[in-house]
Amino acid sequence: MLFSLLILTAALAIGQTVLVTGTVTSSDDGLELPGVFVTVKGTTLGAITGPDGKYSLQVPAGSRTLMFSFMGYVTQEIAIEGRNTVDVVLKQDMFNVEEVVVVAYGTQQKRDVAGAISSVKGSDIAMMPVQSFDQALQGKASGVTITMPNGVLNNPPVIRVRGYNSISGSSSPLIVVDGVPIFTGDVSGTNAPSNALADVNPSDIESMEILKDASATAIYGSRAANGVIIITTKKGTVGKAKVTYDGYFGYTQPYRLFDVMNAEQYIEHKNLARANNPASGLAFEFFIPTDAEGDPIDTKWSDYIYQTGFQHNHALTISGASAATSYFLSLGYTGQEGMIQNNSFVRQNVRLNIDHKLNKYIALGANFSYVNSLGKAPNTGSLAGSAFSTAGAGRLAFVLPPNLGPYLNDGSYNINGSAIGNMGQPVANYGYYNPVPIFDLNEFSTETDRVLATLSLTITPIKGLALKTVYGIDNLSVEDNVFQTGLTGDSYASNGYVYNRFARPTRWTWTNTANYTATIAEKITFSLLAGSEQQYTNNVSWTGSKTNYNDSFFNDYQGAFVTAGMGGGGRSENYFQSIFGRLNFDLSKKYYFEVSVRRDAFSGLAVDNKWGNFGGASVMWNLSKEGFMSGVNEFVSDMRIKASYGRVGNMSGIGSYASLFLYSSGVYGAVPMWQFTQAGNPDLKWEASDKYDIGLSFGLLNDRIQADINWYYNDVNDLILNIPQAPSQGIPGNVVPGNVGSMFNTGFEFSFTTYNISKPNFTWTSNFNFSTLKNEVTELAPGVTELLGYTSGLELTNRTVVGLPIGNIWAVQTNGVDPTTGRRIFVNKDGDEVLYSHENSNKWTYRDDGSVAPVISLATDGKAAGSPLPKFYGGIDNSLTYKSFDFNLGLTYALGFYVYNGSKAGLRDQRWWNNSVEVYETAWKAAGDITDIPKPVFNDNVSNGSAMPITENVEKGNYLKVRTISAGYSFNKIPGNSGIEKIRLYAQVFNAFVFTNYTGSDPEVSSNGDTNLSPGIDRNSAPQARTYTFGINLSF
Amino acid sequence: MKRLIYYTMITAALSLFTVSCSEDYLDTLPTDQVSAADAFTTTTNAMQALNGIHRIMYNQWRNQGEAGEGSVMINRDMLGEDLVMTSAGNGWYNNTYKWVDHRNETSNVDSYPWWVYYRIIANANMIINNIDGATGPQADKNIIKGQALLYRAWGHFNLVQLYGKRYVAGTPNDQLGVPIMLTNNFDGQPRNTVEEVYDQVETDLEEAATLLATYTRPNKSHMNLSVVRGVQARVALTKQDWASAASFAVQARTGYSLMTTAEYTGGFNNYTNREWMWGSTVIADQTTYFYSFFAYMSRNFSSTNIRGNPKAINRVLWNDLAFTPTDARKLNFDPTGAHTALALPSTFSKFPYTSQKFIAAGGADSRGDVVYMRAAEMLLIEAEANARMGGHDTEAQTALNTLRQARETVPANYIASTNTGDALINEIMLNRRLELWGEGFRFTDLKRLNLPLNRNGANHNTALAVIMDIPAGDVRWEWLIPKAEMDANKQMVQNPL
Repeated sequence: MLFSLLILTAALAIGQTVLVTGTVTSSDDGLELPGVFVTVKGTTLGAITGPDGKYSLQVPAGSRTLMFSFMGYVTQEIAIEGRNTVDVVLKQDMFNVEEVVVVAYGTQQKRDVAGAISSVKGSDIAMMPVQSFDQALQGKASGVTITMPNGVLNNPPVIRVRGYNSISGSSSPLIVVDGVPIFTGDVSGTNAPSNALADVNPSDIESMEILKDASATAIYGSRAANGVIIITTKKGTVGKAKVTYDGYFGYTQPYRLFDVMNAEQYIEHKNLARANNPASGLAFEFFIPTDAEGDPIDTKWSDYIYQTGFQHNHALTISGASAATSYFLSLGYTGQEGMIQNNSFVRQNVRLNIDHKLNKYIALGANFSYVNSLGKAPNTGSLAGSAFSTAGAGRLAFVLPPNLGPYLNDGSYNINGSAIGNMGQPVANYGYYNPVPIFDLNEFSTETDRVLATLSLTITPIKGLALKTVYGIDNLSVEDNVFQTGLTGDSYASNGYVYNRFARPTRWTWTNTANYTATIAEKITFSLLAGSEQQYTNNVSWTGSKTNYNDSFFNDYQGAFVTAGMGGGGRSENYFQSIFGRLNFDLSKKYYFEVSVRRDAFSGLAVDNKWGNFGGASVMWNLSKEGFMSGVNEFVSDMRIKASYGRVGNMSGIGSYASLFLYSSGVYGAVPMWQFTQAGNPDLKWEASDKYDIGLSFGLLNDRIQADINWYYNDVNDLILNIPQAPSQGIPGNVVPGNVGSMFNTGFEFSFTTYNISKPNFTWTSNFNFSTLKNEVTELAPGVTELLGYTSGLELTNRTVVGLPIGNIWAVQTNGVDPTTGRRIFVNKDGDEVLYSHENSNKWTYRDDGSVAPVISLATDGKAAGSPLPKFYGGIDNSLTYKSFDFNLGLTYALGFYVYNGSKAGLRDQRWWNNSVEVYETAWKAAGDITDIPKPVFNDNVSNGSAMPITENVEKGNYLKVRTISAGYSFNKIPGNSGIEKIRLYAQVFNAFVFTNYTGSDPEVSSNGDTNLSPGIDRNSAPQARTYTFGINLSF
Repeated sequence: MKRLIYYTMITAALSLFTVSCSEDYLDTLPTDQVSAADAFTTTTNAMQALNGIHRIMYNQWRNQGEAGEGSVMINRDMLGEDLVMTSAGNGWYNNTYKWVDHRNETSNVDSYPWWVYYRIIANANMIINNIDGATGPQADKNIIKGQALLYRAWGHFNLVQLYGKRYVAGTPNDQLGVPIMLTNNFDGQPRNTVEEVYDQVETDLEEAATLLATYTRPNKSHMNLSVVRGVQARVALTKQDWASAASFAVQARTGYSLMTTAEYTGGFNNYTNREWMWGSTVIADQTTYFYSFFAYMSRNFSSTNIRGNPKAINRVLWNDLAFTPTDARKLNFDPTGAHTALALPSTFSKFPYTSQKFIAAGGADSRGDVVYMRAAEMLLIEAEANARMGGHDTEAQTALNTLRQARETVPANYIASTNTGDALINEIMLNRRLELWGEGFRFTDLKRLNLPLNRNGANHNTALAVIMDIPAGDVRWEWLIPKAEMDANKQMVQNPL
């Protein structure tokens, strides 16, 4: 195949020629344009204009058309018509119609792409005060939801491309950086999260492409079902060396903190609740103690937890290129303090991207990046699994009573064993911790070192054919350090605790591709790609812990501790091998066709199921080139209809050894033993997605308005779920994973870019995108009617059942508060209204006749209370420039979804917990009061939803958020010899406002992190952060 | 063109390398776990897998009430009349005592034996079906396979006694037993008949006897021929095959001597005991926390369960005139409950007739070796089988008296039994109940003999026991098939409710 292509091209290049010369100028200012590519259409013959804009080219006799292309200008095709001189005026590409996008293993003209790809420029996110690029993508692309779980620094956001695509595996997309799939997710084992994607400095990114449909992703085969995000880092451009410095500093603060009762309100309210419960167990009333100065104690605990954090960021780049070599060198430093005390993030990175053409045939490229990042955080209670931690700062900020102080009057910490001291209050042991000593003394840090590097060799034996080999490594080292004091808090009982973990995930990827592109008879352009890829991943980790310090001076693992825990850790390796191919074909830029196939093998699968076949195809029809459209071309400058189908896979749910029968080692007496611990499923295969996509894209008014509209349907099948096994089979755990589940995602995506004003001194560009999503689970494992979703392993909050979207919130229905009695009205499974009276021996009574009712429980009386998946979401971006000023406003929104406001259950809980001011002001007090908050009865943890989720706390999450507002001023003509070309000063607010009726801190929340089965939960998390930054961009 | 060919060749070579070097890579294996294929490449490896089953015998599974065989032993005695709960304690085993849990298809108590014995069987099957292909001495293969077969037989035997109907000698025994599992697969099997299960058990035991004929074991947590014979004796006794039972029992106890008084009252926690034939050993660095057998059955371990709910003996049994006041077996119980010699802390509740037969390693250390078989049981089987056989009362008396004499602490008080017929059988059964108290025999003894449960007139607290009588042959003698099995195995049939 390869050889026949070579011969074909060689044959085309032979024949008689005519010399054509000319000058290329710009329509903008009439100046000559150097560096313009001039090619004979349908051949690989070409020339480049010189500094004077002139070119000369030997054109084969019979050639009809020349093509002129230059970055930032609209490509033109000019008929030669027998002339020897062809002068051309190129128009600036004001509306970016010539934009090139990165696709899998290559690049394409944006308009030639039949697949669904959203492209985001690196410059759009480089200045955002985030830790990783994914945090900045929210609202930037249709079909993509990004949820920042909360304001803890470097907490990985939840990324979903076109909904949820797995149940037991991951629904997060594949991330490919400069051609190499990299590690993702939270690599930390401590309270300081460490997003693996933060190791790519956002300011090094040239572009991000989000591949959504099967046509675009199919060539990634078994890893494509969740979509693919391709990150391309910057390269040097032709010209003299360019130096840039981008820096900003700023402040970050929590916003929408809860308004909780002060000490006076607290004791008044709690004493009322005590009076309402004869069995409160409180021997006397709450009171306000006095501090050392004799003033009444009134502690605002959030002041001891949150702060205004300072941050600064610096990026220095040097780049440039000669004809043979291009280089891009960057140095970056990011230092951020979070809005939570002791939460910080420091990143230092260097990157060198270099490309060199050895000769006409051989080009070499290398990308090298080294990153060190150090994250520190207290226990924020805001990461997955920690929502109910009694050390969780997010909760301590609002749960602790204001009539307790952090210190005793002698200046020592107010502690009682592990918990906060009671200062003489009637509660003997509060159980929760005093945040001040644990903030002061405990330390949690995660440091990563990472080398991301690729080396590539491209051989171009003949024009149009590129043989490329790319070897990439992703070597990551993670060191976790934990110290917990024995003075109080979590490690009081063990008298101090240290924990160390060192993990070294490493991966190499070797990709070989051959790509041949040619044009036949000036009409047919095709590109054929064939390749193979191998990827080896190795995970090694070890852990150690010690407890019981005999010298509290030490707070690291190497210090003096009495008791050493058993060491731990893990190892696994897997291997991934693929062959793939793709054919792109277009006829006269009118009819496009693309097909891609991939065959993947994964070591984790059984011998007979190692290989899987995936593929996709698309067609596109460019109507605007058809004759019948010529009448409306003035109005409709471009119009294309696209359709694609493909079947891709998801391998995230398959462990490295999922198909094997495994024995684990241990000891029996003093001798080693192996126990049968895993019955693998030799029939296990990839989860699969059949993806359908129909799209319409058009440009109106000379492309001043550009739109993409897509409909998609994604049939996710062969989902891996545990199938219950008969215990008589003796299978460990009595389950075996199998490909049994299915669900679908479907929706529309609208994306508009409008160039509202494009005058030299005044531009206004808008981006608007809007997506819809409907997700439904259609099949679970045989014998399984529901999958339960727990919050932090404790509170049952979500259920996944057939016929509803994944991760439905589940709660007992409540109908407000009975005005007569002040009791919460619960609704049982039969629809009867039942009142709850905590202090009575018959706690549950029917509302109508007061008779005793069966106990309400979530298991019996719970119901689907709303889907946490937004039905509609998107973003609106507006950019204006006026003379030297620039403005940007970025909005994001999500509509049609529910959030379980578990924090509200805590804020209204009638144990000793502090409550919101709303409770103080509006709780039921007398017959006839119309309110949402029942009669306060001390110790009542049921009426407000702590004991089980109630619909009172399930709220609509609709929001519109002002993600970014920025304003800048540029000095373009710098006088003198400073060498400075441009200075831009700007100010920006990130997470400026949120408009919502949601009563929690922020409806953009995920207390359970990147979870499929328990999304949409807001439980004791720290809020989001608002950040003000001031920056400068300099270029020399 | 030459250059072209050159580059093309490089590319072709690279591609070839790409494909050829990678086939092996696709077969990655874990290094911190062992694939089943590797586990049976050599007999050394397979021995580790066998050790894994030995470990199951005292592993904790889902909760602290599920510790290997020890927890099943407790449940079997909780269903009888000889073990007496003194209080609800912290709840453990209360609902077994009340005959509730084993008749509740969703309870852990009901599913646990099903779960653990079938897990042992699955582990044994992995060995039995793969060991022949391992490299290593044939003698080692015999040792490994023989013990695996013994485990498989013992597992099925235990299961059929709990979940199946009673074996009735002289009938076809086509009533429902339990599924016979001989391979590792993903298909639930239907219940075999009681006869089929016992046939398979006997077949496995015979093969085990052949394979272990000459095996000298390193210690008593491994199983040799005497253990095979012991299980064969139990099986025959359950099948009312008296002659075989007596014969196997004699073979089984050959080479063992009975405990001295000091040993008998020494806490039943050391598997090097001369009389023990089979038991688990728990070494010092393997703490067993609150799941140990001794965390419920000892007198001294300071668990909430033991402090509040020490286990007592049926006072009618203890006071039976068949036993002299100086019988060593009576000394393991204190009618006053004071246990002065143990110097129990004041936090330990005191009740009459509590047991100090089992003593844990310490108040804060729940370890102790767990006994599964000992020579006294074999003497009792020999005595019972001969007495029930008819015409062998002399042999029965000899076996019984051997044991009685050994247990008498004051030689002058010993009078040889001269009972015959039913009186002899009755005396043997009384001795069996006292001798094996707490070792997990009473439920299956009542069931195999088709006797009723009768807790009346003893020190059972009716509020705790609730159930005082269960007629012989009642459906409640069959444990329910666990719900997880009913749900996942289409061919499973539930016992009568």
